[in-house]
Amino acid sequence: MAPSLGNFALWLSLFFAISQFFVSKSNNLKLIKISVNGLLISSLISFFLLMFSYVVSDFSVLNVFQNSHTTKPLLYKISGVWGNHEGSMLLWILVLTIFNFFIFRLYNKNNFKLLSKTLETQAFITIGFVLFTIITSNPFERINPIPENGLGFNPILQDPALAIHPPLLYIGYVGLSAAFSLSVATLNLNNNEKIPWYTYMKTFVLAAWIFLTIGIALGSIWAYYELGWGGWWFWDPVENASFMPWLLSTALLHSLITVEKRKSLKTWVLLLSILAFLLSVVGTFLVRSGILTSVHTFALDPSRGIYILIFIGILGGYSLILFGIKSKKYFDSNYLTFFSKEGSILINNILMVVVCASVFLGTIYPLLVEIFTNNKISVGEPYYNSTAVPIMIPAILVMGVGPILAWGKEDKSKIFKKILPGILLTLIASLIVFLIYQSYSIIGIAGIILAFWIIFNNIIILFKKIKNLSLGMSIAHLGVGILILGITGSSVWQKEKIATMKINNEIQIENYNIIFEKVNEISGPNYVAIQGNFLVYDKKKNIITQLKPENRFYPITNIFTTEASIHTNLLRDLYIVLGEGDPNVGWVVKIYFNPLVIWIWIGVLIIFLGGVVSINTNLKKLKTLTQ
Amino acid sequence: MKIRKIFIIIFSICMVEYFLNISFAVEPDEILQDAKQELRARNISKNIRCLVCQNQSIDESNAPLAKDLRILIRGKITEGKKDHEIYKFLTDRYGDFILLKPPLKLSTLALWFLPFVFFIIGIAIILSHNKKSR
Repeated sequence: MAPSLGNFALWLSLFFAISQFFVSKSNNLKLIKISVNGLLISSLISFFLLMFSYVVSDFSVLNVFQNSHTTKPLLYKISGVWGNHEGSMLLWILVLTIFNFFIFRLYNKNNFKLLSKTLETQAFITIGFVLFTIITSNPFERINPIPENGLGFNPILQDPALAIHPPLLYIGYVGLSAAFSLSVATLNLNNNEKIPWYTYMKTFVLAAWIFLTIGIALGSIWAYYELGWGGWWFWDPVENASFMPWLLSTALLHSLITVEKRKSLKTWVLLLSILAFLLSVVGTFLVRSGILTSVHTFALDPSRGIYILIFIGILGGYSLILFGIKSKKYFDSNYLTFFSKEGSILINNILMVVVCASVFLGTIYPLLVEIFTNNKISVGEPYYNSTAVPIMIPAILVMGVGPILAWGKEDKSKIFKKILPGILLTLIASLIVFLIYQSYSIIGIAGIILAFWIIFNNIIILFKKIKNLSLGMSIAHLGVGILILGITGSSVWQKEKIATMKINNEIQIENYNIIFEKVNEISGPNYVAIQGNFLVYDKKKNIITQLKPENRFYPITNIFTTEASIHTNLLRDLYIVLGEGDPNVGWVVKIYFNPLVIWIWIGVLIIFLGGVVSINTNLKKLKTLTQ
Repeated sequence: MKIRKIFIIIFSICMVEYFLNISFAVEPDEILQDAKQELRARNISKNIRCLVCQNQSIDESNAPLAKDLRILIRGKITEGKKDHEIYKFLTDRYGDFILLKPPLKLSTLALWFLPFVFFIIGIAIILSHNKKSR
């Protein structure tokens, strides 16, 4: 019963989306309201009915059968809804309609035309995704006879961070769809209509950016705690697919500030908001079509990929042609000086786009080579480390100065005076760090200096309380500085020990002695495991902690996983992974000493807080606009 | 203790599969005695793709094939082969696909140079803006 109703609700969403597309052209607010609300309610119903099917383990639904199991913990039954392709499309549609509803709520007399066109475009995007779901990936497909139990769920994906990771990313992507639609609507305005479209757009871009930031961070947290490889970023194409929209939305956010304050860069913002959403959809295409794994798997069942490709073609073709024809009226000839706030924002924008372009190149290049030359190549971490990463360095340097500079034109003689305290503090702090730790590597030195440069400049800004300076921005920038500190520490000074250890064996890493005390057999809700017990002592033989890495086996899916055990303090993580072995030969043990990892997460949290402060100010602005 | 029995049975069954599934990335018995040689081996391994995995180097991978390649690389190092000889041996056998850092060739020119072309174009845009404003 529930699945059929869910399927019906999905078709109803299609109906309401189509009706919204047509009635948003009219001036009939009542009809628009019915469509918008109907769309929201029907997509809520279909989403929660699928969730219900998961919770009650209704295996007559193919999707539930393939991805769930009666023994799965409730949290993962719920997150299982979007842990697979079909269900995640349903979530995508739900988020899309929620944003649609928020856009509708902004209606007033002044912005009617802008928002109607925005809703029309949103409706078109929604139709595209609902049709995609119904045609190629319907989560409510049934099977007969009904199986007794499900096939289970990849246990590596059973993790709280990963459970909420996809919804956060989707909110980010869909927030960018609102920016896209607003851009299309703005391009359709007449010359004489002056509406602060950028304030509307900024709210959505900020929201998107906040959720993308936190979503990507949770993905990294998952990789760090769950995969047991000691790292947290692997330049995997799937990671890149979320990182590219983040880069563009960061650029967009900064140039929107310039539009707001100086009324310049309008055309650039309109183009960037179109590109950012298109790239989100391209990312979805890459991840969902299976083309990344192999061009051949894609060729076996190309229906999904081809559908998304056509959809991107229509969206991209329409919006870019529209931009080509109508963007002229937003073009301004206010050129920017290098030494000014908008100048540094422009540099930031260009560098972000360049970094994004090289990540994009690295992600799709293997595909292009395979299609055109029949050869296969791989593009991995070493490539990004020598292209994308170095290009980020000037961006970070500029980031330290930009906020201090004035709008318009800065007196060049004053600049040096303004940045002198930052330079001095950075040099002193970096010197102290290197004197204490006596570890020199060029990347390490560069990273530490850049991190302190950002941190001190923003602390100075926060203490001086300079007028008209956004508090949210300073907080977010401070977070970036701290993030760089963590990234540098953990990637440059990571130490690793691999050994076969028997019970009571001892191993030394940095200033710690680690004793392998015993092995226990334990069992969890849907797994069994062996658990090692490691005692960690410092040099003075005081016990620091006990670490208990696990080696789990999930009988239902027949999968082994390793659970790392980690002890964290402000300076370092001790990270132990237990491998295979037995009492006679000993167990393979891998121990990492990861400096400053906690600052990566603290940095992201501070960036997130900065975003929240900013969006709060922005929402107040929006409120006065739409009253 | 029924559960314990089941546990032991399951576990012993799994031990057989264990080697297929989750032998560890770099294992202790692979590690070379000479620290310098081991470091070279690790650095090479980080640039070599595990052919049966998705976007993983053989240094991180626990697939049997990755293990074989790690041992092979260490063997070549102890034989006294230079890094470029080892890379050449691997690409002769498995093609460029095995390198995570794609080599500079006609087909990868765009991959390696476009980012810097973009970068230069970007700088040019900034400079031209700056000039016009004076």
